[in-house]
Amino acid sequence: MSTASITRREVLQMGVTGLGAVSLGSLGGMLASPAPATADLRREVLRLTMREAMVEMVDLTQAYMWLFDDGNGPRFPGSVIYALEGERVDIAVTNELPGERDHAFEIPGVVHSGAIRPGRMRLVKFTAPPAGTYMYQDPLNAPLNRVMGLHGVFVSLPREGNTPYGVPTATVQELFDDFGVHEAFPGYPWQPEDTKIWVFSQIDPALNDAVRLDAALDGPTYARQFQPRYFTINGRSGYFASHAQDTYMASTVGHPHLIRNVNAGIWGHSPHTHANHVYVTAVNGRVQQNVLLLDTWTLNPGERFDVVFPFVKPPDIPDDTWARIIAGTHEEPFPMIYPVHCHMEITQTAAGGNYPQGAVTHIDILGPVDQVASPGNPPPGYPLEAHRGFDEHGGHQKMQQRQQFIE
Amino acid sequence: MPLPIVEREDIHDEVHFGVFSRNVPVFSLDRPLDPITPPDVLIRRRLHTIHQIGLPDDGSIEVWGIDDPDRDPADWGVFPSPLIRLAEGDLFHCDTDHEEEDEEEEDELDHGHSIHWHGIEPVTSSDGVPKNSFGVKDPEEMHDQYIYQWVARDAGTYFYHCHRNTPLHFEMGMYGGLIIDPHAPPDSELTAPYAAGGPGYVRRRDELTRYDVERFWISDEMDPRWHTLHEDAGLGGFPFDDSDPGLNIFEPEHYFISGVAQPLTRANPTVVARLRVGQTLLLRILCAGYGYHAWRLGLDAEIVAMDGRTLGRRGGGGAYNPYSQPFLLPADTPFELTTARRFDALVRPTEPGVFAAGFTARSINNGRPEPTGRAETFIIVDPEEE
Repeated sequence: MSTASITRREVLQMGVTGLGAVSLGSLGGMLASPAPATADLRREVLRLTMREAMVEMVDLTQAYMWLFDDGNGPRFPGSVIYALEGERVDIAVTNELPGERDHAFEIPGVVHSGAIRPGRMRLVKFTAPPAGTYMYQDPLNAPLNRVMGLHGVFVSLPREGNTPYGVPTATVQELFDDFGVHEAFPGYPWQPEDTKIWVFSQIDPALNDAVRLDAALDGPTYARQFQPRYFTINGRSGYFASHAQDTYMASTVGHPHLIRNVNAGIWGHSPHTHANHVYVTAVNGRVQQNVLLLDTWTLNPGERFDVVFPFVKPPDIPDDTWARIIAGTHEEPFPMIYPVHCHMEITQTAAGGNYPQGAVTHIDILGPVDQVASPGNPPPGYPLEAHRGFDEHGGHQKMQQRQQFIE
Repeated sequence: MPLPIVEREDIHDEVHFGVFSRNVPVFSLDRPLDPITPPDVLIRRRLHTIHQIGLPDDGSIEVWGIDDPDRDPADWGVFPSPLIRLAEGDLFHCDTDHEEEDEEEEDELDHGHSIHWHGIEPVTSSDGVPKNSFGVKDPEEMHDQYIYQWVARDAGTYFYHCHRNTPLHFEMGMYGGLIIDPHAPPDSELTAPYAAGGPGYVRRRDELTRYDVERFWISDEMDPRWHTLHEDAGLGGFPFDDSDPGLNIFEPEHYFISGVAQPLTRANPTVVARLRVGQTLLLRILCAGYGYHAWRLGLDAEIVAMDGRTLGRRGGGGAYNPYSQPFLLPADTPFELTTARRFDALVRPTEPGVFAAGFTARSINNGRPEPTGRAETFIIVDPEEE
């Protein structure tokens, strides 16, 4: 397999998800699939416009927000921008927000546009940084402009290798070399399609309304008064975040998945995976030497964590049970469904309650190691809604399956 | 011109939506799905026992428990709920039922409680997440029993908690420690699982290390307002519940280490660690609160495990962890944890003295970085025995 095809496959996968995506430079043209708000640019300028919009929360409350529009309408969060490590990136950012505030575009540690006056545009030119996960944001009046919605993920892809990084550490290289080879990881090597991006955001509609009405509200005051009522992953919460292809993971055993986590809010998060511990491969762009194996990690505001969910058999299932599940003679049918959620449980709420309509998604284990090295995320044609137990009576099909076994 | 609206998807199936949020299935079963018998360890637990615990200012606060019905009810009501301790490789069954509710308390919307074994990775039906499987509820409604089943594959520090309406039920104290011990070497007089407090064995990389004294320090804080709410407050449903019990607002007033309230933590003998020069202390530390807890230990410590996974370990079922290594936490260096994170640290004092330890808490809101509270204790090191 050519190295170029490896670097492009993550982009292809993103093209079929709900999270918007844009690919730049020599990656342009890779988003062949029709997808909402995507653009493929080859040696052209990506145009991002800052606009105001109303965003529907999980209970249909409308929250006033400031969003990036890539030409296909405002998006929350902003579309994922992909580029190839070392390539030139040109982004034209226009401030069409109301009022007299300046805005800006920044990838911390990489590029800062400088102030963009109301109604004006600035061309942001930079070289795509070392491969990894970055956040783009409006850094002015921090953290207000970012938390009002002006944030998204920038992914720099490596030119070669079998990891998400151009210069992996020895331990990260060893981990990716072991996937599908070492007996601890039966199945297949990591495939770039098997990547998730989780952007954690928090919304305080009343405070956002105050911003709309009071152009003088400063960032530190906003942060102190911040009392979010909605907690989203990729702009969705609860039921919707748990059933959206860009957030939930569904795979047979043996397809390790990279998860790029970013926290765009002001509150901390403590994401927790059920079913498997995860390997932490990069923190804020630093590829890790000491690759920890965790079930919960701290994701501070502005931070980026890359973790790999190995999709091994959940280890505390008795071997005999696992054999019977595979044989189809067990009361517990595939798929097995597990949550992934922030363990700072106050983020599992919406409008002050409504558990679990907050920052949660799902992991589905569809079966044992399959015979095909196709990506596991999700398999082509995977009937998400069918397996989740919809039927014409609206019953919980999986529960009925269990009941049948028991009766 | 109206602003553009970024729309949410429609709810296509209200029943399924309801299962996800509130209308969790329940059933009663006096065995696990696909039981393997006999288990190596069978314990019983009763969900949602209700108690008052005393506070240092002579007040009290309501907590809920996951209690052991085989103990004298006079001994119930410990907070946190009782420690569960297993030996590596044990096939574990937990026979779980539900406390009977008062008639007046009964509510047709009550769909009970569950036990999730945090860090343990079993089948869905033993994972204890009601929206993905089912809850265990009041015996009056004949949904009163389930037996969780899993194998204690990898030694380490875990915990368990109710995963029903979790923001409230976890805050109310429905959690406890869970330790899986490695087996002792053949020449040892000790047998796993070891007594709480030590001595025992823990892994450092793939080698067994003996410790003399052990403490399981669980940091937590409580917001008294939350402790007056109904158990279903803040539970979702369809249509959405607009009652707003304020579970996105957490303003703690009381701070705890392992259920002992500050400042009693400074002298409580189950919290204070005491050992001699030349001995080894194993600290297991868990954050069970809803803020940032910056732990400080007054002595150098070596962190040998995180989240139930031994750093640098090559063996083990789900614990293949050779890409990591133990690391030094220098004395008095803060190690900030968020909810559910834990680490195991070895402390080997070289001189006698009294060394401060404990945590300082701050809000989940990074816009309010000042401390909200703390709990303090000590590591007391006596001179070497003559």
